[in-house]
Amino acid sequence: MTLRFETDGAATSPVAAPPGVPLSPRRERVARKRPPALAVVVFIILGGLIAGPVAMVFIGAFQSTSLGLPGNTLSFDAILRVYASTEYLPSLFGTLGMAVLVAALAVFFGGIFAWLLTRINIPLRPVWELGIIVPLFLSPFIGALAWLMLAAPNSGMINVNLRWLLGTDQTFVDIRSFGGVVFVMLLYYIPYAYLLVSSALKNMDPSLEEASYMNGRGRIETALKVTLPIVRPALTAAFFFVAVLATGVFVVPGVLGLNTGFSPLAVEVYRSVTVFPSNPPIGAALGTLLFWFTLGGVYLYRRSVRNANRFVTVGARGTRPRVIKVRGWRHVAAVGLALYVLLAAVLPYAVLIVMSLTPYAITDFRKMEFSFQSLIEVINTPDVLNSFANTLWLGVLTPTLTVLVGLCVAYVVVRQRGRIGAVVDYLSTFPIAVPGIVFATGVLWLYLRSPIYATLAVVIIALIGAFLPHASRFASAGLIQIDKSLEEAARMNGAGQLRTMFTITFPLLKPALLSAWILLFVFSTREVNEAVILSGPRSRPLAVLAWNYVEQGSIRNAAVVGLFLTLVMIAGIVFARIVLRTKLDSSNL
Amino acid sequence: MKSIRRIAAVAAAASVLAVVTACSAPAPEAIEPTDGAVDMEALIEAAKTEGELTFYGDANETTLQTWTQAFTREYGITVNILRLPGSQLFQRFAQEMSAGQYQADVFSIADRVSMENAVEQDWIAEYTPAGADLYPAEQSGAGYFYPVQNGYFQTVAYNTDLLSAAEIELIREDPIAAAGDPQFEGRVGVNMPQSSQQAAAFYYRLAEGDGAEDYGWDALEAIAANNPLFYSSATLVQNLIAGEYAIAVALTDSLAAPQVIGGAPIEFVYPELTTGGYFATGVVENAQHPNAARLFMEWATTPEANKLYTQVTQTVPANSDVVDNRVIVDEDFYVSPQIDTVWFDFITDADFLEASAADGEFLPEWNDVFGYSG
Amino acid sequence: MTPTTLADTPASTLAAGRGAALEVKDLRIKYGDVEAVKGISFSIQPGEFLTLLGPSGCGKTTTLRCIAGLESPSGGSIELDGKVIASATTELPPEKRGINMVFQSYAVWPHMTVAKNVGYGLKNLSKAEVAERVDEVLGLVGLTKYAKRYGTELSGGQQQRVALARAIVTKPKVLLFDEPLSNLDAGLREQMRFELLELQRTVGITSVYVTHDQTEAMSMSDRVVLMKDGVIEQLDVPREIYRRPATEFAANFLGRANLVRGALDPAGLKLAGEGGVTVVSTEAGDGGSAATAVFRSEDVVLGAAAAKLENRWTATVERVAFLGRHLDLALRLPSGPIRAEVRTDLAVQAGDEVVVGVRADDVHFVPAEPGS
Repeated sequence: MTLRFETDGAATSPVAAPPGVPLSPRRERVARKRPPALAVVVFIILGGLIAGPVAMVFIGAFQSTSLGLPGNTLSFDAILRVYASTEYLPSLFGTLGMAVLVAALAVFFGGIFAWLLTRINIPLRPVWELGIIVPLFLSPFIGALAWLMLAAPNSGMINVNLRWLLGTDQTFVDIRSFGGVVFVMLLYYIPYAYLLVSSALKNMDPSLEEASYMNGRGRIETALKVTLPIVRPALTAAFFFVAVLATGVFVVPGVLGLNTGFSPLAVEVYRSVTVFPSNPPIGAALGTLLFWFTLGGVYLYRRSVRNANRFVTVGARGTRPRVIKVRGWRHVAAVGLALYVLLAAVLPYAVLIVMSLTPYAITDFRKMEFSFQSLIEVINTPDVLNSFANTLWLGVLTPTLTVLVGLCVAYVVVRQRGRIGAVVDYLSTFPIAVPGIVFATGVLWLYLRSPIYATLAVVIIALIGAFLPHASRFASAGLIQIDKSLEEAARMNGAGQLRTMFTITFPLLKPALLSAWILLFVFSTREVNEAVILSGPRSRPLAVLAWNYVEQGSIRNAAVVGLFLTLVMIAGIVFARIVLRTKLDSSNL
Repeated sequence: MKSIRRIAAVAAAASVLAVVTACSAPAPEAIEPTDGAVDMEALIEAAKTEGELTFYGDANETTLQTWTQAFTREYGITVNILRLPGSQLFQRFAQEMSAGQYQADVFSIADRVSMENAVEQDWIAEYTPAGADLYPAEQSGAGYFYPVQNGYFQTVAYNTDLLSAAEIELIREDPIAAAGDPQFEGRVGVNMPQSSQQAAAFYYRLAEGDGAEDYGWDALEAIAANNPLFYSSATLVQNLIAGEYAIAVALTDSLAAPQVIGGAPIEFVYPELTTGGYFATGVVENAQHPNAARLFMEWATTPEANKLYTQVTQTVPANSDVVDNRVIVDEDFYVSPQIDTVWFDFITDADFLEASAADGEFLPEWNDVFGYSG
Repeated sequence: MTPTTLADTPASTLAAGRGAALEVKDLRIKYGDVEAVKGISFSIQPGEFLTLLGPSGCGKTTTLRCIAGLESPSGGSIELDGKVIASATTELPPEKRGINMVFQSYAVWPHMTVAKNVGYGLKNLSKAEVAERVDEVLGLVGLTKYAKRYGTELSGGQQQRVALARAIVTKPKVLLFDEPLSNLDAGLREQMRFELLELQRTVGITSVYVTHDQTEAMSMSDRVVLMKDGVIEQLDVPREIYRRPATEFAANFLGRANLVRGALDPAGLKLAGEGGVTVVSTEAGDGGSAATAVFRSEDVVLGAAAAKLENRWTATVERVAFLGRHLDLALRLPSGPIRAEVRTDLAVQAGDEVVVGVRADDVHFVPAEPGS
């Protein structure tokens, strides 16, 4: 007969009872496996941050009008209209089609850029590396606005000025077409794809490519036959990630494309709560529809990430692939990159600056007048200082809290396996599947009766929930690389779980966490989807101020605020670079 | 492990406590009028003690800022403005009031029906400011709300840089027909009826109201045949100035006039059968700053306040004590709207309200005719 | 029989030696500001198996990668069959050198089958020919059954053989090995050593092998290049380096050396060592200079056997370790500690005072280390 002991889930081998010791006939005692405290706490936090709002959206879809309004009853009208009728089918297919197209193009270009910048000795590499990421520093709707000013078919700067320069009547570019919307969306999604793929390329075992050279294959052949197949999981992961994000975007098509023939679902959601006659349950129902599709996308994304991790091996001495020297066509590639950076980064900012300095919307260079009127008007806005303060609070508190929660989530997921780990993992990825405005509506309904309603606190709560997937991804990636034995040694030396986390894990994770912090700082500063629904007049950040300007047609003022926001972000990045000594790049992704 | 649980529990409790105690001070008592008149001195003092108020409105934010800053200058009371487009504003207000979340102190909205709705729900406080009589009775909701932000009318606006004199004349003669004239194909922008009740009423009047005979759906179809672009209010005027199109249909004068004064190359004309309405502003029931709100209404109904608003927006002053010396009147092109033929009563017109409701037929039909996907 | 010197190499083996002659001339390689390789020269005959041996950081891997074309020289040159393939000014890309390499991590491509991995480098051949060649080589390494498996499904040893097969199927002029056995466990390592050498002899390609393991170096190489801090410490056949190391470092790196430091008499045959220990040798060192006497622990005898030897000292036994095949003794001479390997039936214990002896023939003098 044997006795069996189980401690902390690690079963020891059965111990034969020593002879002479009488064995009790009753059943063996097994120490009960309790879920660790940290996991429970994290689970509760995620419940409030994520599961709660998402549940509210689902509940809200089954109402006749907005939750809490007088005369509201349970109703299946919205659900039936969205799920059972064909009314929103064109919108659904259009949205999915657009998302897939944008994702494919983003991964294609982002992947090529990543390969060029990690493998080839392109001249002026740091410039392009920065230039590709720069569009992240602009609120997407501000960027869309700039492109509208540049490329609207009749009045866009490009069209108007080329017309008199070349003496024709032609329309050269039309940003309000489907192609135009895709183009602008691409500018904002290529950086994501670039960062994800570039990270995979940097972490690849260099000997895999070197072996290909030794076997007589040149650069391009190696890239196609060895590099591409090995980073393919990373490419797939990036594809699904961008596709999921793209299904939920509403600011870009909202600003640009009322004339594209179909309305992206997220725009419909926004309209359903804002435009007369408003119908919030439809918005909620559409939100749930989007949820299923994007959840599927998230599932596929996670599968790809797992495959990607299987293929990524760290080289023999932890070496990173070195850059290949190439003659000739590296200059052509550099020119291509320069063109892209011009389109994505330089042009929009230039337009915004011009917009801030012209009193109204004249785009003909010959007729432009310049004045500081917009600047003065913005500065004189009584609550601009307050908005600025709110933006700073958001920009500092949100990333800090999100990173902390993300760290706890990563810890539970990576170190403590088991069912609760899996649930926490999935729960923490949910928010990517929910478009910002839908999520914010859920948060609104959840906190409507609480004292924190319309304060900065509720905005922060919504943002933490929305950004958690990013933070936990960074933290998980970093945590996986820290050998468990380092923490185990601390435990053997008497440190409890919390102390180990703070004195061992946290310092080792710092680079990954700081990278996450900076990225989230940028997101929190420029994000408008949640704040526009949740902030009150005193808790309004600058991004919402800009959005309000856009809504009421003062787009020059919006340009001023947008530029100012970019300055704030740049100041933050510079600060992080100098004081915290972290860069926003792909090496810690 | 136990220690972590304890820490977590304490932290959770502490944060909940902090959040709950954060902002639930009871609202101050409102000073009620005695014998019909209110003790101004007491009101001012009580208002100053409250120190600030929150103003919910859907007019242009810069306009509201400029206007309310005069109030702040006089009494030193901060005005926090929440500006949202009309239906969104009402949504938010309704939701908050239903949930007992009293964020707004003064509520102002262009859509009269929404305001009447709010009064019905007991969300607007009963309060008659001293200057109430200075405002037309038909546009006020006596005891509840007053048109201190004047009125606004639908116009057809056009970009003078892009049109010949002959074309302009054509537009001024019959703007609706001109918008449907094939010579303006690809040069027209329209406001959607979904953007405001008044815009919906504008189209409704032409298609199915008393303008159906002269215009009807045919006129709308003609406009649709010109492949118009769809923009709402503020964007509509911006793109007109930028030159995206030459004619803008259903643009309110409150948006167009300040641009004209600012030097933009646009003009506008009131169609014969246009619609109009007045803003409604009132004190919110159970406001957090009731005395400041009441003081604000007192101030807003004064001729000085209305004169300022008139100046900023170039709309017709509603206060009978204010002389109309708007700059826009002096513009060559400007012709005042014919008040007698302006349709104000859409707000109570049962047919219109039914047709334009969410489940009504008018909007889908409009979408159909114009090929607007909504 | 493994040849010991080039002179011993049977002509048949040399004649069968395919592969090119490689010449490294005054090679310098820089990493940023640090010079990892500081001017080394050596040449390799066709078919020869040359090992670059040394501790980590000595520059052996860097040199190997430079031959491969994966690093660039900052000075000097590398010639293959008389043609310069790398110098400070010109460089032939790695895929054009006709050189193949077995990587330390094997670098087996996870997304291809074994057959595809091995056939990857075969160009300008029909599918049938490719299949035939792959088949042949897989047979050589004993992996015919695994042709359709994916790289990630194989064990370490199998992956290593795939890497090997891949490297030889293209019939390269030179074959490079970057510590290929270091990731294998000890038993497998020994077996693979033999197999690898067998294979190399059969195929006869010029090979350059990098390792830090002296057993591998000694058992496999025709010649060994011992490197330290970016320069060549000694270049010779293994037996010579073992018996006549050029420096203390060389003595210690190959096998275990006993050292007695002191000064040589004018004739260079007698060393007056520390602690009054005198050491004589039949081979003269640099007369009159400071020097170190080197002898191996297996050449030390105890007790009666030491009676007639030229070198005889008294030592204290400090530790006795039973190693199965022999006893490993730690002894202390007046000049310092030495080690001895003796038969297991010898009766010694710690604390004993014994007589130890070494034949003069077995002693070799090296110059003293500067500063010792």
